[in-house]
Amino acid sequence: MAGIDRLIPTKELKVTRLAGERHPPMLYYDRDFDALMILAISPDTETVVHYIDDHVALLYEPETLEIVGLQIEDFKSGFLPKHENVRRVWRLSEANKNLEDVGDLIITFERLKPQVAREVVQVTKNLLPYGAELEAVFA
Amino acid sequence: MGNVFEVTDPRGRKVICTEECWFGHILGARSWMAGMEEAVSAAIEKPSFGICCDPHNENRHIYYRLYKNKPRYIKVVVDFVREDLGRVVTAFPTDSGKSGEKLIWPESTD
Repeated sequence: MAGIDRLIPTKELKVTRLAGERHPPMLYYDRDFDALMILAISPDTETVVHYIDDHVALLYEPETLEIVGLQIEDFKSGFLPKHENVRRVWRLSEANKNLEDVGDLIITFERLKPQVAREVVQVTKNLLPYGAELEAVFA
Repeated sequence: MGNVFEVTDPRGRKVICTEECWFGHILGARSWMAGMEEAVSAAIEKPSFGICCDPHNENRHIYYRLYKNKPRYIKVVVDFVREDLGRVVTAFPTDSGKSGEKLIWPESTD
């Protein structure tokens, strides 16, 4: 696309640090950008976006190349309509307005975080390198 | 609220980044980007690979700039609410472009 080369090949990314562990996911949804981030580590940690397809990207630590999360772009407009199970869980989370914070800009989901993350990873695991390992991390 | 920065892109279009966007959206999701205002504004002023357009929204333009000799770009997404005024939507590091994005500046001579 437009001569913007991929600088890190997908095969160089790894999931050794998180493999075999379960991490409570951190979820952030940005309404203006329509993107959902799912992180297995603190959001204070630097991450790089690594696109896999039109909607799905991996998030990895640049120094270690360890995969630590996912970013789903065009989440409501493009991703949800294709994935009914995720859409159903997402609608439940949105119905609970008292979970909203930061002036409606960023929503942090508490109770439904694990379920949303699980459904997203489930429907994207075939696209992802280490899909089974990532599914276990967010199980 | 004010603006964190105002810059002009290579086409001469003004782009603003509001405090709401910077602190609410960008740092809200990626607090470690605090202090990266200059890198983000530089991507708009001097993109490394021209300017791209979102495949689903022709008013959403995308700027990429190589970041400090590291294997990544700063990607900045800007909504043009008017032809001569854009508003930063988000910014983050990425190691590639996204499929479907089309180069709109400089225009192709093909």
